Order: sequence, then structure tokens, then C-alpha cells
Amino acid sequence: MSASDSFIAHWYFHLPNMALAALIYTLIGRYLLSLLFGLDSDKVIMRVFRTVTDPVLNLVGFVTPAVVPRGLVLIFAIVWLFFARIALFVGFAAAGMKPGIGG
Amino acid sequence: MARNDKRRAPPPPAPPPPPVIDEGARQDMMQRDVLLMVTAGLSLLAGMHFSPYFDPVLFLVKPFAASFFISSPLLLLYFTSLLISLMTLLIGGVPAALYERAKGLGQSTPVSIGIWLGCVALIAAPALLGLVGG
Repeated sequence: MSASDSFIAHWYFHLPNMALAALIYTLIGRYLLSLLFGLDSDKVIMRVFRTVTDPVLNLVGFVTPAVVPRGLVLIFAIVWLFFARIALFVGFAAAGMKPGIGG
Repeated sequence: MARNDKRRAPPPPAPPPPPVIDEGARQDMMQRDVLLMVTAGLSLLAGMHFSPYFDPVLFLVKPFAASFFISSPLLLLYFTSLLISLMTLLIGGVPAALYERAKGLGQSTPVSIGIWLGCVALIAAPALLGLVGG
């Protein structure tokens, strides 16, 4: 089974895994851009990154004590998502549905 | 006599009133700082190599480390340690945050950070036992 075949066969794992990975990289991108433009910049690219990542940050902010500043919540969100990817993998492996490139 | 009075130096300006220090707020801030430092210290302990979480997490993190361009085994060990410490801090913070939301608090109080510390201590307990037991 090729990698693309494996992707189609195990879409139930790969799709959420890819979505989580994309969110992680978007958060990293937002963090790097905030270093250049500032957290509250009005530039289009920052507005796009904010629109995509704000729901995640609001969710993580809800389960983070208020003493943690907003900039650090962004880092915490990256760690939560990374943890979610591991949990997803462990969950599927525990259910005997662990995907592999070889099928 | 009138000329002498004119030469007299003007009286010095009155000293500014001492700043009002809210002792309660200052004590709260000190307590919060100390509790936060202990919480951070405990979370770091939870991520050390003697922690029982270390080996299983290292095994699980290995397939995902490549996505963060972590190829060196030494870097992987550091990354695992950092990840366990951060996750201890994050999971321990959930009850404290829920307490703050339930109480409608706009900022953290010594009680909420105490809850955070308690939860982190609970998660880090196996690592502490590992440290004591060698």
C-alpha cells in the first residue's frame, strides 16, 4: 500500500491529525509574525492568522488561569495541540486502528 | 526691616504625601509570586529523567519529533522533559482556571493559584517519590 493509498484508507486518523498539525503551524506562524508586527497589529496577514487561531486561543484561555499572559497562552495552545496529536495516535493505536504507511 | 523680609528665602515646598500602600494587595501579590514559583519548580521536577512519565512519553513523542525538526537524540530527551513539564503545568492549571471562571474572577487569586499548585503537586508526586526513592 502506498502512502496515498494509506491516506485514503485511514482518512479517519489522517484528517484530524493533519488539521491539528496545520493549527500548530498556524499558531507558530502567528507567534513569529507577532514578534515582527506586534500582537495587536492591523495588517491583513495578522488579521487572517487571528481569525484562524482565535477560537483555539479562546478555548485554551478558558482552561488557563488568568495570571498567564495572552502571549504565553499561545505557546500553551501549541503544547495542548501537540498533546492532542499524541492522544489521537494513542487512541487509535489502543483501538487497534493504528495506521501505517505500509498499510 | 521691610527690605530684609523681601530677601528672605521662600519656604520649601511641602513634601509629597506618602504613597498609599494597600497591604492586602501587596500580600496577595507576594503570595501569588511564591506559589507560582513553587508550581513552576514542581512542574520542572515532573519532567526530570527520574520521573516515571519520562520513558513512556519519550517513546510516544519520538514519531512526532520529526515534525519539529528534532533529529538529535539529546534534543529529543530535552524536548521530552520540556513537554512533560509543560503538560504538568497545563493539566494542573485546568481546575484552577475552572474555579476562576465559576467564581467570576477577573484575575488569579492566591486561592486559585493554590489550587493550581495542589494539582501540579498531585501530578508531580510520582516524580517526587522517584527522586526520594532513587
